Amino acid sequence: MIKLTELRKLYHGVAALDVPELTINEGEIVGLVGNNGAGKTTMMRLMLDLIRADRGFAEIDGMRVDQDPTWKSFTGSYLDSTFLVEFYTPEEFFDFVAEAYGIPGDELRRRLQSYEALMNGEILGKGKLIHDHSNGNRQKIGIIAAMLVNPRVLILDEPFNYLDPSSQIVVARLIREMNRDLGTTCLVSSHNLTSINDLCNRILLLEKGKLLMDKPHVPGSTDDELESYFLEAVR
Amino acid sequence: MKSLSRLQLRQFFRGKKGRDLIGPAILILYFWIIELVILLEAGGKLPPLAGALVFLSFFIPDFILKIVFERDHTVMDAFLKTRPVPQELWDRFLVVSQFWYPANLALPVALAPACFMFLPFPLSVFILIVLYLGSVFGGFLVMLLKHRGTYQSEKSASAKPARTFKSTTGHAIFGLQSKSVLRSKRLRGAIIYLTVWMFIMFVMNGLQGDNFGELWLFYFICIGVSVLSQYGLGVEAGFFSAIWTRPVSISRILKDKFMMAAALSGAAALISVPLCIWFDISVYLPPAYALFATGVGCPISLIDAYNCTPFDLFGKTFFNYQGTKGTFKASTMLGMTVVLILGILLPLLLSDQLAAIILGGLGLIGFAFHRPYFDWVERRFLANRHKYMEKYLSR
Repeated sequence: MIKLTELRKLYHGVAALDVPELTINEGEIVGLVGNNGAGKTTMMRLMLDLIRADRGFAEIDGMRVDQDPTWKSFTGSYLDSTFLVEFYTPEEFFDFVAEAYGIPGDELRRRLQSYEALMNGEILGKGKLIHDHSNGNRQKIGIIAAMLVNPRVLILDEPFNYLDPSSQIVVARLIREMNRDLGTTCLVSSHNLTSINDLCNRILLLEKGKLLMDKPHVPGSTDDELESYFLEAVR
Repeated sequence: MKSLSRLQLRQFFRGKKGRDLIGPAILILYFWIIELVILLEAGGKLPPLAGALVFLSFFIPDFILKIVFERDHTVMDAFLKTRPVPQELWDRFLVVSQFWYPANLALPVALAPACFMFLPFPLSVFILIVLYLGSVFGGFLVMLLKHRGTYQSEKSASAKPARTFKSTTGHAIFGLQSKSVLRSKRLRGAIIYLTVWMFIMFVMNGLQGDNFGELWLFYFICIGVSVLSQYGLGVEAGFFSAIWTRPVSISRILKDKFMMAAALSGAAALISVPLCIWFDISVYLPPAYALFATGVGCPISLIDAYNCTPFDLFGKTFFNYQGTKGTFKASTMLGMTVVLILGILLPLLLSDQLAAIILGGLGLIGFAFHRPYFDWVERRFLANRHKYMEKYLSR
C-alpha cells in the first residue's frame, strides 16, 4: 500500500532519512519508533509529498505521491498543527474537510458521532476557534479530521502526545476499529512504546535516518528487543 | 533596570529578521507620501500655524494605530515572571522604557524630514518635541488601556456556537478567505484601518471639489484588494499541510481570493456611488475602478502568490502586520505600481467616461480570463512546489 524506494532526504548535507526499501502492506498497523531526530516525521512528510526527496520516491497504492495526487482522496493524515485551520471552529474545520472530500452534511454528522467518546463534550458547540483550544483538544481535532474521511491510508505522527490517558486509549481503539472495519493501512509514530506495543502488528525502528529494525509484532505483547535497544542507548 | 533595558533591546533586534524592518520602512514611506500630497495641495508652502496643525494631526492616526495593533506588554514574559524580578522595578521599567520604545519614536522620525523642509527650524524642532512627547504619552495611555491584569487574561476570539454543520458556513473552503480577515485582528486591523483612512481622505478631498477626490476614490476602492493580495498565499502557508494533503487545489484557493477581492472592491464601489453624486464625480468611475482593481490588480498581485512565508494571523507584534511575514515581492510591487499609475492617470488624461470604459473593459477582460490565469499560476507553483512548501514548514 505504501512503498518507499531508495528514499533519501538530506538537511544541510546530512541524511535525515535514508531508506533503501520499505513496503507497508495493505491492512497493517505499523508503529514507527525512534529517538528525537530519527527521521520519523521526515519519512511521513515525504510520504505526503510535503517535502522533496533528494533521491528515490514514495508510492501510495502504486502511485508516486510526487507525480499523482490521487492519494489525497483516500489518505488521512495529521502530523502537526499546520494540518489545522486555526481560525476556524472545529465545526467549520470538519465542514472544510467534508467539503474537500465531498461528504454530505448528514453523513458528516453521522460520522462525527463515532468520535463523541474522544471529543468528550469539549470540542463541538463551544464557539471557540481551534486556536483557542488546548493542545490536547487540538490534537483530537486533527486526529478526527484525518479519520473522518474513512481513509484507506492513515498517517499519524505522535497521535498520543498531549492526550490524557483516557483519550489515548480511545484513539488507539479508534485506529484499531478503523483498521478492522475498513481495512485501513495505518502508520503511527510514537515515543510511547506501550501504546505502540498495544496497537501495532508491525514495528519499525528508525535511528538517525536509517531503518534499524523492521519486525512483525503481536499487539498487546511487549518487545524485549525494542525496549533493550532504548535502554542500551542511554547507558 | 539596565538588564531589563538590555534584554528589551536584544529581544527587539535579535527577534527580527532583516525583512521585518520592511514593514516600518513602508509605514514611514507611506507617511512621507501623505505629507508630500498635502504639501503639494498647499502649493509647496504651509503657513506656520496650518503647518503645525497638519503635522500635529498625525498624532491621531498614530494613536489609533497603537490602539489597534499594540499588545499588552505590561505583564512580564514567562522567562521573567519565573525569576526574581521585583514588581516595583518592572513597573518603573515600563514607564521609563516608553521614552525609547520604537513605536513611540516612529512618528517624529517619519515626519522630521518634511517638517524641516517646509517649516521654520525652531517651529520644526518644537513640533517634533511635542510629537515625541505626545507619542510617549500615547504609549502610556495605550499601556493603561490594554492592561489586562497580572495574568494577562487574553480575550480570545470566538465565534457563535454552531448548531448545524452546513448551515454555519456553506462554503467552508471559501471561508478560508473571509474568516481569516474577520477573525484575525492583524489582518482585519490592517484592512479596516487603511480603508477607513482612504475613505476619510476621499470624503475630505471630495468636499473640497478638486481632482484629488478621484485619486482617493481610486485608493479607497483598491486598498482592500491591494492589502489582501500582497500577502499572496501567506495566510494559507500557515496551515498549508491542511490544504496540500487534501483534495483542494491551489487554483481554487487563488480563485477564492479573486472573489474575495471582488467583494471588497465591489462593496467599496457601492458605498462611494452616492458620495460621487454628491461630490460631482462621474458615477461610472466606482464600478470601473472596482472592475479594474479586481480584474487587473488582483491577478497581477497574485502572479507569484506562492512565493511567501507564513503570515501569523494571531501574532501580536506591532510592526509585523504589513506583509513583513510574507516575502516582500519587488515584482508584485512593480506590477501593482503600473496598475496604480494607470488607474490614476487615465481619468486625468482622458474624460471620466472614456477612462471608466477603458478601466472597466480591462477589468472585464481580467474577469473573463481569471480562471485559466490562476490555473497557470498553479502550474507554476506545482513545478517548484517543494521549494516553497519547505519554506512554509520551516517557520
